[in-house]
Amino acid sequence: MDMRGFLLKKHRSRTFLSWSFHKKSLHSTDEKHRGDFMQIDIQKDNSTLTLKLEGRLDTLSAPELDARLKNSLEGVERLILDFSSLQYVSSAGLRVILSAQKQMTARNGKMVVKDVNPGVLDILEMTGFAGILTLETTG
Amino acid sequence: MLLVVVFIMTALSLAMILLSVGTFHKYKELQISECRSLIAMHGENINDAVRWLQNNARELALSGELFYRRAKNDPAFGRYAVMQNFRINTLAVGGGIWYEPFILDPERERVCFYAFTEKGQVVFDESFEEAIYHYPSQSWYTSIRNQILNENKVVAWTPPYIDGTGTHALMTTVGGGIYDDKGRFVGLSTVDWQLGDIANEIATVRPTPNSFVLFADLENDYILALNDKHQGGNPVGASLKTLSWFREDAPREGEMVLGGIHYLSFMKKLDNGMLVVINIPSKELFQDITRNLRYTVLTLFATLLLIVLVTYRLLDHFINKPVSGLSRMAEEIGSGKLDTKLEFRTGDELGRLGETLNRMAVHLKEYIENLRIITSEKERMGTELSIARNIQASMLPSIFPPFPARKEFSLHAVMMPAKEVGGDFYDFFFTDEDHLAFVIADVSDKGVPAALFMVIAKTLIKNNALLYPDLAEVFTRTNAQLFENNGTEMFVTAFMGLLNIRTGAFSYVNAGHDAPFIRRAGLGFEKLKVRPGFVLAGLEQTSYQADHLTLSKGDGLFLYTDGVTEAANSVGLFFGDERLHKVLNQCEPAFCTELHGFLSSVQHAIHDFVQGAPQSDDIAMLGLFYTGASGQGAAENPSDAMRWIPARIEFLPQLLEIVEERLGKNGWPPEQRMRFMLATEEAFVNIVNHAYPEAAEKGMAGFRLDILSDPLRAVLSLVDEGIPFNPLERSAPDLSLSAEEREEGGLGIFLVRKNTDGMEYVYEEGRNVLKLTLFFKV
Repeated sequence: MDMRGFLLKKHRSRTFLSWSFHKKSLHSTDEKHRGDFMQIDIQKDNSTLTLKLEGRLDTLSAPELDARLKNSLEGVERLILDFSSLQYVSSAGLRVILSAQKQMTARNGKMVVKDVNPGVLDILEMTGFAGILTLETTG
Repeated sequence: MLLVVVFIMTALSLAMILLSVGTFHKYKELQISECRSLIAMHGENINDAVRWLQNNARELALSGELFYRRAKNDPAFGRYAVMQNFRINTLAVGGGIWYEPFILDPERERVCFYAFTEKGQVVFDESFEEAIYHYPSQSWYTSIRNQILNENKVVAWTPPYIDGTGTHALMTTVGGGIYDDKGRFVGLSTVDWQLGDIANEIATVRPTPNSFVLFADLENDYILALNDKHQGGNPVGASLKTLSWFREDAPREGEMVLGGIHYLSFMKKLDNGMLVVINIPSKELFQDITRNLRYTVLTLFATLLLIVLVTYRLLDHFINKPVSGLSRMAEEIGSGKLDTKLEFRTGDELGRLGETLNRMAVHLKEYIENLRIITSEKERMGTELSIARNIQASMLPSIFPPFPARKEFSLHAVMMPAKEVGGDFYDFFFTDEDHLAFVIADVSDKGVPAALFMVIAKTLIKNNALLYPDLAEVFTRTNAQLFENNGTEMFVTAFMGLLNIRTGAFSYVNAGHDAPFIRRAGLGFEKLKVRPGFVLAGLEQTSYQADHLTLSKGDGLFLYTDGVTEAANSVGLFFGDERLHKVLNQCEPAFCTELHGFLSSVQHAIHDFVQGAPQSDDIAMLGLFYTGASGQGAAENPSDAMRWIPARIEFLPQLLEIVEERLGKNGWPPEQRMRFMLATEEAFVNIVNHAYPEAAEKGMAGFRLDILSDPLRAVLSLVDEGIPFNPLERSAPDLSLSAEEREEGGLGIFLVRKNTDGMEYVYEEGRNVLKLTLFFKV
């Protein structure tokens, strides 16, 4: 019998502060879900917190990001959301992004959303988020 | 408390001040009476002298009478009298006896005897009888004679005068009349008094540095002494009128202002018409007492201040500081700083309160720490349970209809776990082209262990069913395998059926499970006759036997777990077999047309029965309706069929997968697919979050994706049976607001609208139907 579906894979990568969480591993492997998958890389450098999101920020994965932010925002002055590998965002994801922006503003910090791909940018523009977020493109 | 102390202190000090002011006035009186005594004493001294001199003048006059009457011829007697007079009169500087012209001897105009003292020696002066000094015409002689004769005075004083004989002293002379035996005035006596001495003595009287004394002859308007700085020069001999301040009729004691200075003025009139005035600046007179009073008051105030300060410090130390410390600590504890510790030991009630507070903070901290550990533990457990629930949910087939291509039967099942994860399960699958196997089972426990056991049981049953066509064999083997791995003495009741969908041949086996209901076309539901069988995993060697019957077109089966019949209401009454039987027959019409609605009705009946009592056991139900091989033909396009999934978020990926796969298959580009999937997600999430507000009866969501042509478009119908809600009426969020003003939420419907080309909504037959259209664009 296949027990892989029960295992919650948590593995360390890069530094001890950085870890990855595979949501995909929650689902039994005999059913494939192309989209239901997000990975968050967290890196903290003094007061700068960088979150690199990979995959889909949807109704299922948004609570995950919300929880990560809640636990990591202490003492953070600069929050960088790296969207270079983010394929998809839904309203639940937008809610978490707005919440993060509000928290950073409340603590006089700065939040930067980096390298948004065109599909996600469409949604940010459509919802007026492009106007209230600080979007940056590297290189 | 502090106020009381301050009040008492103030009252005390006021009393003290009043007392000192009283004393001050007493002292003032005393000072004044001292001045009174002073002037009285000096006045009396002068008075004494004056009286003495007057008496002496009379004595000397008596000697003159004696000489006149008895010793006219003995000039030595006269001489003796005036010289001896100095033996009794030490005040006088000169004394004499003077007779009226020619009265003693008609041939001698002037007869007189005069002696004076010079450097302690008494000198008899004979020069007065000489022709050059004609005494009867001298002013002193006429003055005294006039006063005696005209004013009937016994003795008379001359005005003060400056001695012209060489000493230039200030003098005055008193004289008395000499009479013969017939009382005729025959001469007079004189006694010279040097006023300068007494005036000098008076002038030294200075009770205070700036006080001054006036000594004057009032009758003759003659200033004898004045030691007043203000007047300047030597006013001796001047008129009293030159003194601006002087008033003859002034009271014995009074006040006056001279040169801006306040004086207390004391006046004493003497017997001979002289007067003594002492003027004392009141400031100087009372300087000492004023200073003393000031010191007293200041000292009092200082003492008082000291007492107040000390009291305040004491209060502060024993009450205020502890109290403010306590309140600060209470505040800090209130704001969550539990490391706060009070550092004071007053030993009184406050100190004890502080220690109590310290202990409380420590306990609170421990308590919160414990609570935090427990809570995080619970959270972790909750998360894991929720993960387990996701796993379990994804393990049960949940897309209905499960086999849209098969028109011989319809099948629907529901599962409502009591806790996060349950032990009930259902399963269905084809063992080959024609044989549909379906299982319903109940693990003897709930929670994670039951869920794990359920997974094993489900897997074993499926594996065995795929291997062995005989149901008895399947259960016998499954029992043995489960027993082998069963360390927890759990067991499973299960019912399994195998239907040949082509022929209707139906075999079934039971392992201690509740007998299902069978529906025969036109006859309604009846309990299926089944062998009880023993539970799976109960005993190592258990053999099972299968039963067989044939289902006709229109027949059906209803499988359930004991969560249905043992659903209890708030008074502990079970739903029961009979009530279930009745409900099944009441809902029967739906059974043939729409299994999903049928199961929903049964669910509602249970829900209505328990009336909000907590669900104590998992509830699983499975309905199978057999339409036979010659049933309605398969739809030309399978996409027409409405599929049902539970309206729970964990089923979102399955929905999205189907949508994306079909759009992809039909050539929609990835960006278009992503947009439509976003719309689909938001619409489905809306149903999940809002359609069924009561979590206990989370309903189902139906969906159907049609690919239509001319123009080529995809139409997704999303259906729910929850509260009526028209998303088209939802107003769009204000996108112009800043991050702070934006509300988190309200974007879902907006995103649905923005990412589709058409959006239709109807509410029909108790269902919300939302149709989303996406045109094909390259």
